[in-house]
Amino acid sequence: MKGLYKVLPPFTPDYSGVCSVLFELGGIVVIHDACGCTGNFTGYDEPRWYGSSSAVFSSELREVDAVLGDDKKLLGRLENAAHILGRSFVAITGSPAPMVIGTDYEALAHILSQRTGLPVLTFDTNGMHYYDRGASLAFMELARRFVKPASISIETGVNIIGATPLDLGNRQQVEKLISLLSSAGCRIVSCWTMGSTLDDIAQSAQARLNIVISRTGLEAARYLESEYKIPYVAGIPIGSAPTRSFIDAIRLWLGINGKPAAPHNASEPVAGVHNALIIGEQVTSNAVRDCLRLDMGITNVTVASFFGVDQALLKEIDRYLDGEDDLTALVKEHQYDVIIGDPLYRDLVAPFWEGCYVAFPHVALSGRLYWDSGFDCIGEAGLALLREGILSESSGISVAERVK
Amino acid sequence: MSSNAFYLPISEVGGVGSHWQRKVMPSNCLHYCPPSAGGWGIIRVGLLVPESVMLFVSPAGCGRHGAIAGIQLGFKKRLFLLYLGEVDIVTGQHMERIPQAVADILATAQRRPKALLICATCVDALLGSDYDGLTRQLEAEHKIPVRICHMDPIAMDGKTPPPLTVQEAVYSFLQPSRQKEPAVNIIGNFAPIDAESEFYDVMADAGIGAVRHIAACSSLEEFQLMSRSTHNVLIKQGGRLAVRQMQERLGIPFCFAPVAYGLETIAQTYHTLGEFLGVELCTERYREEAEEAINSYQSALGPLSVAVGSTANASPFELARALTEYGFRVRYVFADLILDFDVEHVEWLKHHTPDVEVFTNVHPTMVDFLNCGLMADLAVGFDAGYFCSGAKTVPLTLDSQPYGYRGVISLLREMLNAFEHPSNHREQMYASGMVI
Repeated sequence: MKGLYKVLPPFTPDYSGVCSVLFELGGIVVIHDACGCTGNFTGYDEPRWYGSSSAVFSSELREVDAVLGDDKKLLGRLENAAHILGRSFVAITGSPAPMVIGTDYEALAHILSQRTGLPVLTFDTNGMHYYDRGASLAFMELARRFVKPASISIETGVNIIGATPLDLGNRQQVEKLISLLSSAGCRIVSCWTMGSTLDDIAQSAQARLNIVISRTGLEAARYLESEYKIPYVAGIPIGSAPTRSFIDAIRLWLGINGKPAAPHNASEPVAGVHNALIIGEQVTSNAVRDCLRLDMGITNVTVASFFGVDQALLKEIDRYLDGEDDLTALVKEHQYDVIIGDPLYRDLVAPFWEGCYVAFPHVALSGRLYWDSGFDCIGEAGLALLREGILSESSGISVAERVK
Repeated sequence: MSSNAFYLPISEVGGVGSHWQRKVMPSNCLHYCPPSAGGWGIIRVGLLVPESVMLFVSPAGCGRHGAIAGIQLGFKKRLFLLYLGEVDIVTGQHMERIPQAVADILATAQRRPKALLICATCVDALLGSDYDGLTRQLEAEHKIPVRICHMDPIAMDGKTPPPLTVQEAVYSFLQPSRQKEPAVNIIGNFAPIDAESEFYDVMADAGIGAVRHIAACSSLEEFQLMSRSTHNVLIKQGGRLAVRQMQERLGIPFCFAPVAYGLETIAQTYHTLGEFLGVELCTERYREEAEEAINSYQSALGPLSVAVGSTANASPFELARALTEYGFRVRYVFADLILDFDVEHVEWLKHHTPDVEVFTNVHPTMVDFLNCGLMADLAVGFDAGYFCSGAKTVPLTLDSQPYGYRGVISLLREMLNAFEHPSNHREQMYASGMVI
């Protein structure tokens, strides 16, 4: 039944996507809710919350205020927080209850901005959409509101756009990516939004290329392309051959001299693997597909996503999933030899499917359950992860037998 | 104090608010949710009903914390989620989709559930959705009891906040019984009173044949036996709507005999309980046992400084008083609410330990807690452990239920254990599956 979820927990909602993007930027971020939605973010969507001093709050909306449409309390609380915490901007993101009462976020922003003198960002989120929509809105708002025209252009400068723990899982993934790009001769102007400040982001127009590592960063990258003529590439290096191609492509864009990677010899297909399904965020899943294709010779690979998909990154074989039934129908129809995805999807397909399941945790589904697992997929580690999952030590055994 | 975090000296603690719960924090503040916030959550409490399942009807995001905690703690297989979209909000169509979802769940369940809870959220509270007619329809169609509960924190400051109404819903599954047995039901908490507590022996000596608790019932049938009990003992305020409803509907009178750790308070509680049951309860020897344990553990632990939090299985103010009476130095209390039961203990602390500082978990200035430099040797409760990051933490969670004089011994044992075998606070806290 559409809308009925019997196995999977809810995905990270849109307001958490907003908060995740803004988390490290030094503002006051308020979820306009009764506290439960904020608890989702702080307890289940944000690995950085423990021990942090990021100012993410609940507005503590109550029934009487909602029924009377009384925004004075919210404004007063925000003003008070701006006064005592002294941060650089305010962001308000919505939840289901304010949607029901038709909260006018633009009016709130206007009043609050006048009273505090701070930039006020608002996001009309409602908890009915998933994190990718909220994160995309937040990246776009950063591009629109904070990036300044550049007086200089850094020849080898790049911005990384689309970095949140919701897709990357942990900070080490970003650090590896930055290290990889730096080794290739790139200068990182900013990383949206793990490890950079709002000032770094404001200087983004100095870069010559944007590297979009999740679909959530695409809209902002397209805006920067149209506004500041900065082109973008969408991708994340996972695996051996794809990482070399990724680096070569970046160097080519930036005109950095370097030894190009040796021509890639097509890998022999893995015995017994005829098709594979990857369930997850689109850019990462496409990168995993490249790894399967280039490093392991597995060419019949479908990407399926419960989150938004971008037509430009979509292959004909790919699928958008609008509920548990869509995924079960897809797997029943194709009986994939290999499925790669968050461990929780396995519970959904296990009753009727036998094959090789490779766990690829995604915080936007399993939240805190795996965020401390030390998951590592960037570069060669991605190939090791997939190879270990797919190729058991006894390669002559069929896939089904291996899983049993 | 070396920080800018909001706090009150105990002498200034009075509380803001007009009815049974007063807030420590001023009302003009945003709400901070520290990682250490939370408890059992509405879903887990609702699913205490044996052999039940829950259909959670909400926008997609609302059920996330409860569902992931359910995977962690093993109750997710009894939880189903029906998502609302914008069209549902405008048209109320979701009410028409619920019967189909229920039929689907019951038809595909491996073991047919014997009870169903439908959980509605803030959205339905604002829309005024009518679930009463729907439950009657579903009961008639599927021949199982169906009840509505609410996870609507938007009603948190009202007279019927969700932590109380969910317990009311849980006990509304009990049917009136003509058969009565000399037994007590323990209401308000989530785990049976620890087996080591003297409470069971004290009740047996008083002629009480059984001490019943919902979490000890393995079937809906066994749960129904609670209707036959002659008395309800409310040990946590969260059950106060439930016991009133059970008094009206099932004719079971109740008495408030709260969890406490101070010897005088425990003695007074047993006295009240004895009057309620109409018998004299003999507890003196247990008190002596506890006094001996206090002396012994106090010597072993030494003159510790302690922070007391509100996530502990206790009233933070009563516990702070008890620890002071044992001989420890309580420096900080982390508390967001002052309940009626707390008032007497707040007053005691004002007179006896005026240097105690009271923080709230939720004030916006707590985001900078790392700069606070709050120092204590031992913290009781995950919140106290989080804010006093150098302290060894005694979780004292809601997953087990110390009670009476042996509850004191249990607490002291846990304190010594935390001191001798400290755990990683973050790992310990996340593993507990607390839900805000």
